[in-house]
Amino acid sequence: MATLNMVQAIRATLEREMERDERIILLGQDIGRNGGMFRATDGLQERFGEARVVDMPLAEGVIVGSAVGLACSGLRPIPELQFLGFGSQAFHQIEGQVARMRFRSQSRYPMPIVIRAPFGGNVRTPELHSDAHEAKYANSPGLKVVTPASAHDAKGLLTEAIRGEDPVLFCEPLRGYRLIKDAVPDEDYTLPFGRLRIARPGSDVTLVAWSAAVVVAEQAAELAEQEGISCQVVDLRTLVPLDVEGLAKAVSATGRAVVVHEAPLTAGFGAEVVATIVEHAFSALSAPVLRVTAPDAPYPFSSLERAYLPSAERSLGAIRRVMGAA
Amino acid sequence: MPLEFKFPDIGEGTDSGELLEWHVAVGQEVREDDPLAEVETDKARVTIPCPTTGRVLELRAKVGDRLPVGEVMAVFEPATSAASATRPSAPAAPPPQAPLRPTPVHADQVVPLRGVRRTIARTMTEAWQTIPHIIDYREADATALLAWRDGLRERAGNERMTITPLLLRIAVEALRRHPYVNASIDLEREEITLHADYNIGIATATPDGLIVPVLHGADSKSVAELGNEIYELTTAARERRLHPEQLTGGTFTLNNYGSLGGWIGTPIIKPGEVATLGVGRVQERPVARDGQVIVKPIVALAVSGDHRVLDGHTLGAFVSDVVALIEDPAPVASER
Amino acid sequence: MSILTTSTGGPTPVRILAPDGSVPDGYRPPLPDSELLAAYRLMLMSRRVDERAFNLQRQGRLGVFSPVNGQEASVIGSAFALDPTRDWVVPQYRELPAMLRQGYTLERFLLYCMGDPEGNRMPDGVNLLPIQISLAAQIPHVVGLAWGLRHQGRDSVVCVYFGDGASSEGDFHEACNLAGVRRAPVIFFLQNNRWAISTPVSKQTGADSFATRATGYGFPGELVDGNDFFAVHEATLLAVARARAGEGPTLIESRTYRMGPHNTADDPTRYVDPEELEAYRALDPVARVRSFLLEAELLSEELEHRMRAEIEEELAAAVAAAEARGAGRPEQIFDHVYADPPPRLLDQRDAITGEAQ
Repeated sequence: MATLNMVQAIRATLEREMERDERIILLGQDIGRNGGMFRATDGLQERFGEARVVDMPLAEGVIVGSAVGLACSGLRPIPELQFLGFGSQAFHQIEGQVARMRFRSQSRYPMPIVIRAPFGGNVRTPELHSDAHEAKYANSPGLKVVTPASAHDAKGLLTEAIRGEDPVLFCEPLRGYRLIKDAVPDEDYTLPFGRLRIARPGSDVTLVAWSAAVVVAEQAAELAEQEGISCQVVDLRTLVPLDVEGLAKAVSATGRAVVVHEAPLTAGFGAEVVATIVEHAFSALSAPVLRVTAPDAPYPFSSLERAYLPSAERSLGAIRRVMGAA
Repeated sequence: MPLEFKFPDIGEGTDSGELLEWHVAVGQEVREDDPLAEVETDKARVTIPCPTTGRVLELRAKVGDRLPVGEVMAVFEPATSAASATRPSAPAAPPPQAPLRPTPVHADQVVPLRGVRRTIARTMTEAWQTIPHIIDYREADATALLAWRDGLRERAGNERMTITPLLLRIAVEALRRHPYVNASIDLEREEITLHADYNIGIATATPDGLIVPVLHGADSKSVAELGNEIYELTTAARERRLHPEQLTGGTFTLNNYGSLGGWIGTPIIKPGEVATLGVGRVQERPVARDGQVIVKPIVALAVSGDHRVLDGHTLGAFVSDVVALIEDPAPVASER
Repeated sequence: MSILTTSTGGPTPVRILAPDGSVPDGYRPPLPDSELLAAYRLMLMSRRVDERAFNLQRQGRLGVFSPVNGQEASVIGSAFALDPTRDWVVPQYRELPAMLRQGYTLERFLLYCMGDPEGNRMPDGVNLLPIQISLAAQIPHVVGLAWGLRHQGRDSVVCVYFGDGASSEGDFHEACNLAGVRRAPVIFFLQNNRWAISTPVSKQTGADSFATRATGYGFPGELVDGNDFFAVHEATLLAVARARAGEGPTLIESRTYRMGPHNTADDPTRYVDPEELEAYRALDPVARVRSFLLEAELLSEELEHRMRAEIEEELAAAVAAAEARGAGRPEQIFDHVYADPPPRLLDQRDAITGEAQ
C-alpha cells in the first residue's frame, strides 16, 4: 500500500496493464518523450518503445479515429485527448464511430478502447481547456463514461476499463491529478462499473457528485457539519452505467439531495441524476432536489473561474435551503 | 390469394404522391417489375413497378388522385406457378384513356388544387400582384409573313411550317434592337439585368393547363430548327416529359393564342421576365388603304410590358419593330 | 470524345482502354482471362442489382439504395488488384461489387437496404469493415487498421473508398496526414464521380485534381480514367505493391461519373445537364470492357447470355432469402450495443420488447 496522487496511480496502472497485455497501445499528443502534459505516461515510451507509445500528430479526430481501426485489427488502443475540451474535435468519431461500431457491425468489431481525457477547471488554463463535457458523452449510447474521484478508484476503474470489451471515456480531474492523494493498494484489483461509493456518511442531506466535485461536496459537508447538518457524500464513480439502485437507496436514507457538478446547469448530467431520484425515490423526498453547478455561460477566462465553478460555499447555501433553513 | 399493393414510401419520408398515369389495365397479365404507374411526389416523378407476376384485379385510384403512403393502390392475383408467369408475347398496350369530357355539375364540387393547376395558380397570382402590366395592342398586315411561310413550305422538310417560328424569329430580332425588353428586374437588389441570351418561352396549352417550355438560344437557330424545336417542346409539354431546365431560364415569352382561335388577348408576363408577345389568329379583315377599303390578312398583337422596366414609348418602339418586321420580314427572312 | 480529360483542365488521367474497347498495340492485361471474365460478370451483376434494387425500392420492399451505375470499372478494377485473403476493403456505401469480391453476400446487402442491422455484419474471416454512411469517417479507421495489421506483422494492404464530396471533410485530411507520417499500407481510393448528391465537383474543390493533394502528405497521387478498367487496375496494382513493400500509402483519384441518381430518393433531372450525362454514357465503363472481351474473343454472346441467366438466379435467390427473414425484431435494438450492458438498458429492453409482444 502506497500513498499516490491520481496521476501516479494512472501511470502505474497503464504500465502494469501494458506489461500484462501486449495488444495495448497508447496514442496521443506529447505522450512519448515528454511523458504526457501531466506526466501520466512518463517513462512508458522508454519502457515499451515507440511502437506501443505513439506520439501522434495534433489532430484529435484521427487520434480517436485511428484507434477505431487499431481495434478492428485486434489491438486494444488507449488514446489520450490532451484535454476533454478539445474532444469536440473528435466528437463525431467518439459518438458516431467508437460508441456504435459494435452495434453497426453487430459485434464483429468490438471497441475495447479507453479514451483518457483530463477535464475540469480551477487550474488556470487558457480558454476551451477546462469544460466539463461529460454529459454529451453520457448521451452517446454504446459508450461508458467513467469519472473517478480518488487515486484508489482511478486505478481500479482504469483497470476495469482496459480489461473490458466496451469503449470507455475515462475522465480524469485535472485539478485532482496532484491534489488528490490517497492510499492505493499495490496489488491488482478492479472496481466494477455502476457501483457508487459513499465518500462520507451522513443522515440529513445526500450530496451527489463525481470527479473533482466530490472534493467540493466533502468541503461543503464539513461546513454544514459546523452548523449541525449531517451530509452524506455520494461519489457516482461512473455516469454510464449509472448506479440507479445505489442512488435511490442513498437519497432515501436522508430524504434530501443536492447535486454538485462543474458543467453548466441546463442539460448537465445533474438533470439525469435529479430525474432518476424523482423516478426511484420520490416518496422518500422531503424537499425538492437542488443542483449546484456552473452557470449557463461559456467557461470563462481563468481570472473568473473561481466564481464560475461550484464552491463549498454555494453548496452550503443549497444544503441550507433543502433543510428549510434559508 | 390476392395481393394488396400499398403505395410505398418511395422517398425518404414521402407522405403521398399524385397518380399521373396507369401503365396497366384491370385484367391484364403482368410480370414482376413491369411498370405499373407513374406517380409524382414532392421530390420526383417515379415509375412504380408491379410487385408480382400475375393478373391485375383492381386499380383503386384515378389519374389525378393523391395517393397516401400505405394505402392500397392496386390488387393483384399472383401467378401460382412459374408456367403462368411467362411474359405476354407482345408488350401490353396502355389502356385507352377516356377523353377529358366535363360532366355537368349538379351540386357544388370541391376540386383540390394540385399539380400543374396549383403551379399556374401560384405563378399567375404572383405575376398579377407584383407586375404592373401595360399592354400595347396593334394590328399588322400579315401578307408578307404568309408569303414567307408559303415560300418555306415549298422546301423539302418544311411542309408543316407554321408562322410561330417566324414570329419567334421576328421577336428575337426586335429584342436584339430593344435590350430592355429581353430583361429581368430584381427590386431587392435594385437591378435590371439585360440578358445576352434569347431564351423564349412558348406558351403551350396542355390537358393539365398552361405550360411554358423554354426554347434556349433562339437567336442562333434557323427557322427550320426553331420549327422543329417548338414542335418537340410543345409535344413534350403535353406529354409531361419536360426536363426542369426546359422549363426555366426564359427571358421573354411568345403566346400564340391565335392557334386556339383567339383574336385579341391579355397576355400575362411570366415572373422573371418583363414582356410577353401575344399573337392572335390571322384573319381576313377589311382595311383602309389609300382611301380604299380592301381585304387583307391581319394579325392582332397584344404585347404586355412590365411598367417597372418599360414605359409606353419603350414598349411601343419594340412593338413597332415587330409590326414592321411582320409586314416586311426581309431583314430576317434573307438568311436560310 | 475527351470530356474526361478536358472538362476540368489540369493533369490528364491515365487511360489504357479506349471508349471503343481498343488498347494500345502490344498491351497485355495483367490478369488471367478467367479473372477478366469474372470482373466482367461482376460488372453485369452490379448493373442488374442497380435495376432490380430500384424496382424493389419502388415496390416498398427495400429502403434507400445507392446505385453503382457508371462506376463499375472504378470499383471493380481496383478491387481486383487486391488479394481478398489478406487485403482489406473499407467501403463507403456505393461499392457493392468490391464488397462481393471480398466475400460479402448479396443477401446481406439486401438485408442492409431493408433496414436489418444484420446486413452490416461482415461475415467472419471476410476482410471488410461495415458500410459507412457518415462520409469520410471511415478514412481515419483505415489508417489505424493498416497500421495495426502491420504492427502485428501482417503484410496486408487496406483500400478505402470514398468520393470527391468526402474529400472535403476534415477526416480525410487528418487520415492522409497520419498515414503519411506512419507510412501505413493504405490505398486512398477517391472516386471522383463528379457529384456529391447535387453538388458538382467544381463546388467541392478549387483545385483541378484531387490526386495532387498527395504531395502535401508526402506520398504519391495517381490520376486515372475511372471508366477505364485497365487504367484503374494497373494504378491499384502499383499502389498495392508499394504498400506491401513498406513504401506507404498512395492516393488514387479515379475520375469517373455517377450515371444514376445519388440514391432512390434523389431526382438528378433537377440538376444534371442531360448533354453531360449523354457524353458520359458514350464512355460507359461496362461497354468498354465488353468490346474488349468480344474483340479478344474471350466473350461470346452465348457466354454473356449464360452469365446473365446465372446472375438472375443468384439475385432471385438472394431476394427470396432476404425477404424470408422478415421484419426486424425489437430485441435487435439492444443486442449489440454493449458487451456488458448497463442494467438500465436491460430494463429498457424488457419494457420495449414486452410491449411489442
